[in-house]
Amino acid sequence: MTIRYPQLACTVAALLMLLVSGAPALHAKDLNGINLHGFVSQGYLYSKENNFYGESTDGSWDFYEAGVGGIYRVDPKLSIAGQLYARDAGRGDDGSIRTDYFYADYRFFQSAQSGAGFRAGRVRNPYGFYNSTRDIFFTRPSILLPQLYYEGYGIRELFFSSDGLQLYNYWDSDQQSTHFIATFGRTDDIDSNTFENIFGGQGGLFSGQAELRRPFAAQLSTDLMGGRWRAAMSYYDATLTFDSPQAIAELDANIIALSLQHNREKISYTLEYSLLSTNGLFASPAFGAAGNFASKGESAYLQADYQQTSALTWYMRIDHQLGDRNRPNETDSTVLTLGGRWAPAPNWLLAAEVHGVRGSAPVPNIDNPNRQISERSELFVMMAGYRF
Amino acid sequence: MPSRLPNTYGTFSMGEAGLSKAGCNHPSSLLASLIFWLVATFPLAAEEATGAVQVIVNDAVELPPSLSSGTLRSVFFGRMQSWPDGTPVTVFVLPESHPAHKTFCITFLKTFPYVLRKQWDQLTFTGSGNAPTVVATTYQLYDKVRSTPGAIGYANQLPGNDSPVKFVGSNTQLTDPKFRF
Repeated sequence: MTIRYPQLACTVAALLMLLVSGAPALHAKDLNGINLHGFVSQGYLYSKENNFYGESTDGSWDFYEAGVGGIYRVDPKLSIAGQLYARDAGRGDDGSIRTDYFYADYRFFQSAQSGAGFRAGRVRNPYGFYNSTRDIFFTRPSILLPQLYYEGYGIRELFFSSDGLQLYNYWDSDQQSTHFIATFGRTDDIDSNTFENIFGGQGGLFSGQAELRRPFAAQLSTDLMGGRWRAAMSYYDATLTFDSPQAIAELDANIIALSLQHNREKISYTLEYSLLSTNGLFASPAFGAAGNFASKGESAYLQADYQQTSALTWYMRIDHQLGDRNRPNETDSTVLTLGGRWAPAPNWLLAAEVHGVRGSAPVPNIDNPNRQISERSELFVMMAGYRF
Repeated sequence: MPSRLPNTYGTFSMGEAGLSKAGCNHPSSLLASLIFWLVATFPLAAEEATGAVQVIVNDAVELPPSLSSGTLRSVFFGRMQSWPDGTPVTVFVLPESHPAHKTFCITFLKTFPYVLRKQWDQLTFTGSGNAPTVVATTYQLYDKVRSTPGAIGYANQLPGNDSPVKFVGSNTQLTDPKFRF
């Protein structure tokens, strides 16, 4: 059981310094025209059979998230927004502080019922209902996200945000709100460890130059009757390339996701489905090997939330993933989740959930080195969070 | 006049069919249906609106020529961030548990407080807008809207004033926009 206190302590100290600068309030702080927000959450995991985020079979505190951000309105059309963020999740994330997003937002069109603008810088990619705020405990539907959000080490960073240009547009009518958002990311170098992890390579085989080429993300979403019904269609496409003296490789991946939510006074239902298509080429003159591959994977979940009171919500979810349609029996995994969250005050949130896991896809490989992954595991997770 | 009890609750059977249909091709559809059925049979509390509320707007605001539910949703969901004259929109609300907040959400925005709160969190944490300022009492809310240019909020309707919108401030001299809520 390891806890990385130094980073957490630094982040908490920074957040506290910001907190003491203002009187207690329920929402963001205003500091010289900058609207500030922040959050910190600490988790605990205990599991049987496989490790999740640290050595959770012995109990792990190795899971926290903290961030601080702000928005500054330069004039009615122009604003600047940014967020710094640190996350520790077992061996998969080390708690280092990084720039989560930082962009200028120019609203070039605004009418009484619609608006359009663009953002330039590091922007969040829209995908499903939760990707754009996936690292914030307060906005997730549960402590751990469904498999559709590809929590795997390496993939989440590529998926989460892009450096580039984002266009957005919304239209509000009496019964409906429609949004369109598209990100055009620039080609960027990526860590070869990330590439190795995605390709499943072993120590140092892929030491070379890796690139993420032209990531593109788009989402069309609509809310009917004040959000009683919400639906979204998301698309993400990117090419990963790798070049070294030993091997060259290229992987094209695209994901289509469909999302539907029905909100009632006490109950809401969320259903999301995604289809991931990958096509790859691989050539290694050094080893005399070459090949190509293509696969399709699917993921879907259904979650029901029951709000017993405005502060207490119970949720359950069935989450299924088919890693490769052609090998359904070897690559499928199911996670059943049962949990509750309680907000004793608007700034505080506590949650606890149990997961029954069948299959190895939801188990982080990186937290289980040199051991056989069991087909079944049970996991208990708790988290406490504070925001301002 | 706002409709106090919006007739938008008759859609559940449609949703049930939609969800079941989507689940049919899925290997876990049986279990999913079971969970759905279990949850759907939880008791539902009646939605109630207590006392009428009206939108209050700072009278220095130049409102759009017609104020519709669409515009009100743009404003309260945080999408519209400045009025036509460029004044920033500043939204004041009561705590989520306050009956007037619930009434306002249901009557004017046709939504539930928790749906609105999730939208505000989304705005805040993606940097795409500012969540409204929460004040503790209706008196504070009235006072803030009266004294802040570009402010909008809501208050209980007083006897004899059943207009959906009331302008508050020091110099009430307004054009008369059309309201369609």
